[in-house]
This record gives sequence, structure tokens and C-alpha cells, in this order.
Amino acid sequence: MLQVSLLSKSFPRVPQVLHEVSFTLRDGEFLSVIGPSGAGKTTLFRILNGMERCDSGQVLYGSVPFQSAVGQQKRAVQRTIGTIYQDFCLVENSTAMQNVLNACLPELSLAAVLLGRFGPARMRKAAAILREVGLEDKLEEPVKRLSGGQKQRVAIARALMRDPSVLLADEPVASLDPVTGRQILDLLKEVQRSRGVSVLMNSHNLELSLAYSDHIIGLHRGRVVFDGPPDAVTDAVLARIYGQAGVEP
Amino acid sequence: MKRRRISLLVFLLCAAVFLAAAWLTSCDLGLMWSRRAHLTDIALKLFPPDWSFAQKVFPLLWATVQMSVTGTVLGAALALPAALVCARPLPGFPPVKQVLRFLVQVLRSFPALILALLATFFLGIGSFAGTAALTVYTFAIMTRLTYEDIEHAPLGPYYALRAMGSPSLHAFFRAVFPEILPSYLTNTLYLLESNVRHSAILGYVGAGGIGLLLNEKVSWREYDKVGMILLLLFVTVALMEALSRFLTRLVQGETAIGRLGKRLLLGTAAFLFLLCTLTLPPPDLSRTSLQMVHTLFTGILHPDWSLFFRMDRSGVGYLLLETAAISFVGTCVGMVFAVPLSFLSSSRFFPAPVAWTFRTIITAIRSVPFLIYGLILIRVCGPGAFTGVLTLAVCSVGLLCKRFSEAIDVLDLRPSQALEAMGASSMARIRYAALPQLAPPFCSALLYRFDVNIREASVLGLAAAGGIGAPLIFAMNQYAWNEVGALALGMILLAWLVDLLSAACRRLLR
Repeated sequence: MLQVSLLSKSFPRVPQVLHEVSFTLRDGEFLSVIGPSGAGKTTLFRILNGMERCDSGQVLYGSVPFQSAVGQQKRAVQRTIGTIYQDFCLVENSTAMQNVLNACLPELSLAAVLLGRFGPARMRKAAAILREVGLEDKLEEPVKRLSGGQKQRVAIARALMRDPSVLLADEPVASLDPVTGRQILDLLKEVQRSRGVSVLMNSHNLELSLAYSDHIIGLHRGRVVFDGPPDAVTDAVLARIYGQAGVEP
Repeated sequence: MKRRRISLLVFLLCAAVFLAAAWLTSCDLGLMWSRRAHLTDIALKLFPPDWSFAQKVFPLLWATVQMSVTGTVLGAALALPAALVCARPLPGFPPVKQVLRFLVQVLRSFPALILALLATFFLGIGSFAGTAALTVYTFAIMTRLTYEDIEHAPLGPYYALRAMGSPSLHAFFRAVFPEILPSYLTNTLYLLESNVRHSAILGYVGAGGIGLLLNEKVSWREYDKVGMILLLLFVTVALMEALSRFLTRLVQGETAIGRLGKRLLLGTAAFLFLLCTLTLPPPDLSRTSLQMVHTLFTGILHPDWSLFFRMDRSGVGYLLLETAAISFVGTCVGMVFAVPLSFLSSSRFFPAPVAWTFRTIITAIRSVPFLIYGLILIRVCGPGAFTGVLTLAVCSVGLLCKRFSEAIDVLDLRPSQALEAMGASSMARIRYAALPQLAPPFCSALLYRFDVNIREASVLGLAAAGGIGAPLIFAMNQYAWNEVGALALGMILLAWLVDLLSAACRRLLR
């Protein structure tokens, strides 16, 4: 379970990117954060995966307070989070297999990393996960030769390699065409069901978010303006989230 | 419209600077024309080469190759950890980054020849000093290129791995290293090639290799023997270039070899490196003493400021201005010849036999060490800055052609084909379809060449061809370390200024 309470964040040039944001991601749930550009979705993500610190508030993974964890403790939490990104963040010159194995770096010594010795057990696991996401024939293919959808599958496989309890997906389909985007979301849904992983996705694509999620959080200018199931998202709610020309919600 | 006006302004500015620099270096095409007979005279005497001389050349040629291979590999290997420390996005202690970057910038200001002369004071006369100088030279250039590559590499994958809890060094080796590896290897190969040419002149200052013999034969006017040395040097450089072209294609993934082939290649490379390194003669430390090192460093660290503020022709200011002017005019003249030559040497615009002929001519121009041009041209135009300009112009033709043809080789030909389909001539296709696309890479090659020429111009002094090199080398040979300190500081400042200027130009180009 991921619990976010009263999270606030400001940048020197942009005050109040996030203002007292609170919500809960329950185990095995598919949650989407929606909102217009500049609503604070990406900052929220960077705080949740530990790349950014919040000014105040609390992030609890299970019972561990994440925002105050440092060093070993922080890494221990990071290991239970899988993240996938809009631009995939894969090493283009490395193969699909090598990219998936990169998820194991925290457990290896520097010497093993330099020699590329990951051990047969990890190799088998990586191959099995790549099969699971439908890339059984692309194991040794350099990522630069894969299509966008295939790259996102590799990224999902890399995230799954650590058996995460939470999967953070930052605009996972924004760089993909509509058909491939749906296939990727089908895969995420499948992973959520079969592995019992909670998924937290932020997306510009309202239609897809409503279709695939169990739980919607609406952000507007850094504040939560909606928290509920997708079928409760009415036109009035959307007006509050996305705002209307000249009308403040 | 505004862009056009800016281009015109830049062009006029360049033209004005060119004319001023040409006046300063007393360029005189009339003199060159009236004494042209001397040029053809020497060129004709190089043929036929003295074939019996070859067996005396081979051992020295091997020493030259040995120095370049060891120097390049060691320098490139040391550059990798240094670049890791220097790169801004990677974690580390900022003051350490700043100090190391500054040190690399200082080292980069000196040509290999000056480093080699300095090395002979520590390590004695011989190949060991030359190897040490090439190692330092390669290290400085490779560190700079590699940390710039790291800073321009996509860092998303690195941060993604960091977010998963990877230590930073682990994440660097798995996420950033594979992305910069092709360019790292390509740069290393390029430096190996240029180091072979550099090491051919290190003998001038007693740092081993073929240079000493070459100098001797040029001063004794035994041109048939010079011809033999140049021929063998040409063959070596051509072989090196062919090898490097093949390896570059391999690195860029355009040619593939099997796993066995890769292992064989790596094995051969390792064997060659070990052979070159282990057979190096040991340094001659008999004349090195702590006292000497102490005097050298205290001297250099207390530069003779009076040189700085002298306004006549022996002042640092004038010497630097002359050096900069020589390189500027040399680069511009080189460009005028390099642009048509690089098109003529491309089989994408001209028939294969024509292209092949011109490519061979360009390789031949490039394979002659530039000091040799200096020594030959000095007999034509006499000592002075004009000889320096001509020397750098000839060298720039060779090296600019290489960069230019690389840009032409990766050019998008579809616009040109579209014009061809409408019946446009070769010339029209180059003017309207190729040149607009090529302007940015050509400008960037020119800036790079200017940067290198500034450093090479400071060596021209060896051939009495003007610039800051002659006083610097005299001062070093007279152990006048205070003067060396002042002149070296001047060179560092000039290199730094040119660096800032070319960075600004690059930003404009983008």
C-alpha cells in the first residue's frame, strides 16, 4: 500500500507545484492521476520514485516513511518500486536482455557489473519475463532496433525484474500510436491482475485512463480536486480538473 | 531576411579579420609566384626516392608506430576515469571537478612537440620521452572529448537505474558507458592516426622516432632520402587510415563480424599493444635530478612578467597575435582548397576513378608531417610568418578534406536526387542541395581545425616560420624557465580564448 499525505513542493521559480496532496493507492489497484499540463503530475512522480524531495508531508510505502529515508534504507524501498517512463529511459546501444538485467545492479558488486557477470539464475529470470511481455524473439536485439511499443515492453520487463509491489507509470503511452498504446495498457492491466501489483499511472489520455483504472485522482494546479472511481467522473468534475477558459474551478 | 543580414555581417567581419591577419603575417602571393621554381625544384628532387635507404628507415618507423600505439592506448585508458570525475551530471565533489577540468584545459593548450621537449628534460633523450608526451597529449584531448560526450549523452536511462536503487558507478557503466562507447572508440582511432603523424616529428626535439633522421636529411639536402622517408610514412599513414576506417565501421555497427572474429581482433589488438609497450627502451634518468625539477617548476611558476608587457615584436602580446593570425589565414586558405577537393574525392558526386585519385592525393598531402612542409616552404618564401601561413594552409587542406568528406559521406542525398530528376547539373546539385545541408558540419570542422592550428602554429617556430613557438623552444633549450613560464601562460590564455570563441560560434550555429 502507498499512502501519500499532505505532500507539498515548491521550486524557486514555480511556487506551490504541489499543495497538500493526499491519496491512497491500495494493494492491487490501478490508479490514474489525471490533469492538465503543469498540474504537478511529473513532480509527484519524481517524489514518489525518490528522484525529488518534498518540502513537507509524508509518503509511506507499506509502513516505511520514504521521504525521510536515506542511503541503504532509501534504496531498500526503491527496490520495491518499478518505474516506466514516457521516453522509455532504456540504454539504446544495449540489448533487451542487458536492459532488463540492469534492474539487478543494486545487488551486484562493481567488479561483477564491469565484467557483466549476472549469474544464470538472473539470466533465466530476465528471459522468462521478456517472454511474459511478448518479446521472446528479441532477447539479444539492441534496443535501438526495436519499435516504440517493443521498447516500452522492455521497460516493463525491467520494472518487473525486481518483483515490485508498486509500478509507477509516467505517461507510458504518450510516445506511442493509439493501437500500440492500448496494447501496452492491456499488458499493464494483465500484470496488475496476474501479479497483484498496484499500478499508479499518470496520463494525458483521459479516455484511456477512465477505461483502464479502478481509481482516479484529479490534479489541478498542484491540488487534488477529485478522488474517486472512474464512473464518478462527470463533465462537472472534468471542468474542475481541466478548468474552462477564464473560469476558475 | 534578418538571418540573411546576420550572415552577411558575419561574412564581412570574417573578411575584415582575414585581410588584417594577412597584412600582419605579410602574405605576399607575388613573392610566392616569383619563386615558384624553388617549390617544383625540391618536389622533383624527392623522386626517385633512394630505395637502398629503406632498411635504415624501418627501425625508426617502427619506433614511431610504437610510440603512437602505446601513447594513444595509455592516454585513452587514463582519460576514461578522469572524464568520469569531470562530467557535470555525475555525482562528485564539485571543486575536484573544477580543478581537473582546469588541468585538462591547461594540458590541451600545448602541442605534442612542446610536451615532448619538456618530457626529454625529465626522461632523457629517446622514445620513452616521446611516448610519455603522446600519452599526456592523448589524455588531455580524450578526457575533454569524453566528458563532453557524457554530458551530451541521454541521461534518462542513468537516472532510471538510480531510481531503482543502483549505486552511481554501477549505473554509469551500464547506462551511460554503452552510449558513449562508439564515439570513445572512434575518437581513440582518430587520435591514433594523428599521433602517428605527430610522432614523426618528435625526433626534432630528441624524443625518438623518425623525426631526427628526417631533419638531418632535409638540412643536408639529401632529397632522395627524404623522398624515401616520406614514401614509407605515406604507406604507414595510408595503412593506419584503412585500418581505422574498417574499425570505425565496425564500432558504428555498419559491418559485423562474428563472436570469434571479435575475440581474434581483441586478442590481436592486445598483443600489438603489449608488443609495442614492452619493447620500449627504458627512460634515461642519468641527467634528471631533484634539483633540476625544482628549478624547472619554480621558474615556470614565476613567469617573467616583463615579457608580457613588452610592446615590441618579442613581447608575448605580439607573438600571440601573430600565432593567431597565422592560424586564421592558414585555416581560411586551407578551406578554399579543401571544399572543392573533398567533393572531388567523394564517389557520391563524381565517378569512382576520379574520386579514388583525389582521395589518394589527399592522403598523400596528409601523411607528410607539417614541419616538413615548413622546411620546404622556407626555402621558397624565406623565414617568417608567411611561410607559417602556407604551411598551415597545406596541412589544413589535408585534414579539413578528411572531416569534410566524412560529412559528405553521411549527407542525405534525396534532395540532390530530386534536383537530378529535374535535370540539374552536378554543380547546381552541390550548390542548392548539398551545401545548405553541409554548412553546419563544415563550420564545426573549420572551428575545430582553427583550434588545432592555433596549437600547431606554436610549433612552426621550429622551422623559423613565425609565431610563439621559436621563442618558447629557445627559452626551453636555454633553461630560461621564467621566460618559458610567461610564454606558456600566454599560450594557455590564447587556447582558452579560442575555446570560448568557438563555443560561442557553435551556439550560434545550432
